[in-house]
Amino acid sequence: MIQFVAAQSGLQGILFARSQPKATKILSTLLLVVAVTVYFASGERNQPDTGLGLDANIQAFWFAMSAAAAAGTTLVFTSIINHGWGKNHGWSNDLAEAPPLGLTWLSQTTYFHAIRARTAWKRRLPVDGAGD
Amino acid sequence: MGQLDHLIVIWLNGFAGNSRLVDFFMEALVSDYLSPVLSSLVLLGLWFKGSSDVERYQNQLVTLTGAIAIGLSNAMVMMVNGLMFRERPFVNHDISLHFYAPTDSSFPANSACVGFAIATAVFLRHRRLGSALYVLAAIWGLARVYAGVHYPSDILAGAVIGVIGALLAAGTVRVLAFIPRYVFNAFRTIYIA
Repeated sequence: MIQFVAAQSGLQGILFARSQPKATKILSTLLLVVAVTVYFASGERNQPDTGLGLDANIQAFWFAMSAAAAAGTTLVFTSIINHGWGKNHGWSNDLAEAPPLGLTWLSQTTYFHAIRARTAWKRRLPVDGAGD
Repeated sequence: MGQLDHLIVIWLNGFAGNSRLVDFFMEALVSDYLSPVLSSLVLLGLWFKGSSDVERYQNQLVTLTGAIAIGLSNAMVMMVNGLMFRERPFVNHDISLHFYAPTDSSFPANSACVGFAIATAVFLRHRRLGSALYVLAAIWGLARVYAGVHYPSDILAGAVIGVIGALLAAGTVRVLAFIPRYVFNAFRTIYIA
């Protein structure tokens, strides 16, 4: 889902296949369909939450954990894959203004480069007094 | 109303067991996992969706509204459950059960409540996507009646509670907008919002 939306929203810095946004959308849709089909075809999935099933609260907890893990994995691996491309993000520590904020900047760079730029700017902040 | 409820359950459940393919799809649709996971994936996707900061911020508010809506509507279902208990259709009628046998109250349907809560939260900003989620929630409810675990009025009541929960959540987010704005701005400094 993250890959599908990132491809749709032009967040190239968090795409595994940056130059193939269309293929990313098709592949991510296929993966979702295959995952659901395999899950339901491979065993009895309607289990009571008093037995082998999960109750709604536990389900919500594991969904949140899985989503965070998926986002974290995406940010780390796409930062490595797109490292070279992400260097040319247009912001330099020599500039007076702060690096851009938010996910939107990940359309021009990777997560690691964005964090690195932000950290570099923060470190410089007390010296020359630049602010947001 | 009660008589109509019984008739619809018996009629819909009469289709169960006639086709293995239909039963497979219905057993997937009726599941505790398919519809809520798909709806939640939409909320997750909305967190990242947008071509500008403003658009993405609005979508992230939808994600937040959806999460609050689930909590609020579930709390309302728990309150109703504390006031009344209704037996499941498979307890009262000679029908084939295509699900595990739940022991909690049939009324109102928690599944419909969650499905319609998420759909409404999304619909308030994205009409087409929200409509698709309404269809998914309605199919989930229909599958529950087909499987013999809910009466149609359980689904209807759950849907109404879900919609109310989502409207309350949207109102809360609007009134307390300074809180998500502050938190999301903090997230933006570490590039996760």
